[in-house]
Amino acid sequence: MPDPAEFEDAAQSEAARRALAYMGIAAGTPIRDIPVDTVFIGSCTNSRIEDLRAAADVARGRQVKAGLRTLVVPGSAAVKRQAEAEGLDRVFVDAGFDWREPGCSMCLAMNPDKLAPGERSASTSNRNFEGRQGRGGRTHLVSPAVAAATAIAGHFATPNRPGPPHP
Amino acid sequence: MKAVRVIAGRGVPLVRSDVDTDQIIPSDWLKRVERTGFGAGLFSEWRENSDFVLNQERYAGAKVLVAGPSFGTGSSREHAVWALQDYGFDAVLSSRFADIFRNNSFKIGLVTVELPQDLIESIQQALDDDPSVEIVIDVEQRRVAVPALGIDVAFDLDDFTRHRLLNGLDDVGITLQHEAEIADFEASRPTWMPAVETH
Repeated sequence: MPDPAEFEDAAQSEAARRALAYMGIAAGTPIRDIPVDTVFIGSCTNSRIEDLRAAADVARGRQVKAGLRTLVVPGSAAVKRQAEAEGLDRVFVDAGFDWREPGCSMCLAMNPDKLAPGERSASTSNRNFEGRQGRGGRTHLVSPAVAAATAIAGHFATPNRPGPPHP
Repeated sequence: MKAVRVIAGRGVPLVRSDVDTDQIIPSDWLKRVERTGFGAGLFSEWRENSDFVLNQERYAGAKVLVAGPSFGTGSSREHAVWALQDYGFDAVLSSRFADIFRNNSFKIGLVTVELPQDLIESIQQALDDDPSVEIVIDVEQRRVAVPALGIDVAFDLDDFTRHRLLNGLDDVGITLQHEAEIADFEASRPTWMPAVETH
């Protein structure tokens, strides 16, 4: 995580300091060391069929870290049908993901799919404003493949090396 | 839409950049089906902090929000404009607005005025020192004045948007200027075509 003191522009430095405080992260923390509570693979922009294929490729034959909340929400009814025709739903369910109906879900937290204050998500949606996924929620935007790898590791992880669950 | 020619009133300084529409009106409020009542949700999370500028009694009744740069970023939410208006703001000043927010604001009749950042900061400082400082936005002349600071400057506003604001015409209002032609068309429409609802 960047250090606000290293920003040359004072306004940007202040914005970074505020962002780190909201996110509850110390400057210099490696991203891999940050555990998540929720993984959200969804939204109309990043839960297309190719996104679900990419995430399923990472999840296939692996298991979600115990205790993690994981939502896979297809971007549309058509995407859901196609994914099920390709057997992707089974890949996700077998790995321990929650396979859901299409909808906005945790992209904007208008229904009960939301973060509690202080909870942290890896999310494939495209907006990470304060409170976007629930009041006080902490959103990290990631690709579908990184989201799947993170769900398996329990902390941020790359698709090629999801690795064992974080100690 | 209400016609607007001159807005004159006090202002509130919102010294924060990149204020997004999720902050202006949090998503919990989007389930309402009316256009009214969103003022209570304006900046609702920030307003829980008693120090937040809108909670300061000295700014009560202000009509102009003097905001930091990049105001209105994020999702398109008409509700954000409705919330600002419903709360009592007739205008927002900023050095930069998000495009979608600005388009929404003009379609709904909230006047958004871009001024150089140094002017914005001078006005914010003046309002911090003295909340009674008056801001005058003249849509007809396309000028903003803050007499107490000796500020009187032109701002950009295209002719069509100016016309709409001065005459209180939103998209429906513009369409209804052709009501006679629409009625003629409907009267001459072949009976075998689907019925058109008339009022």
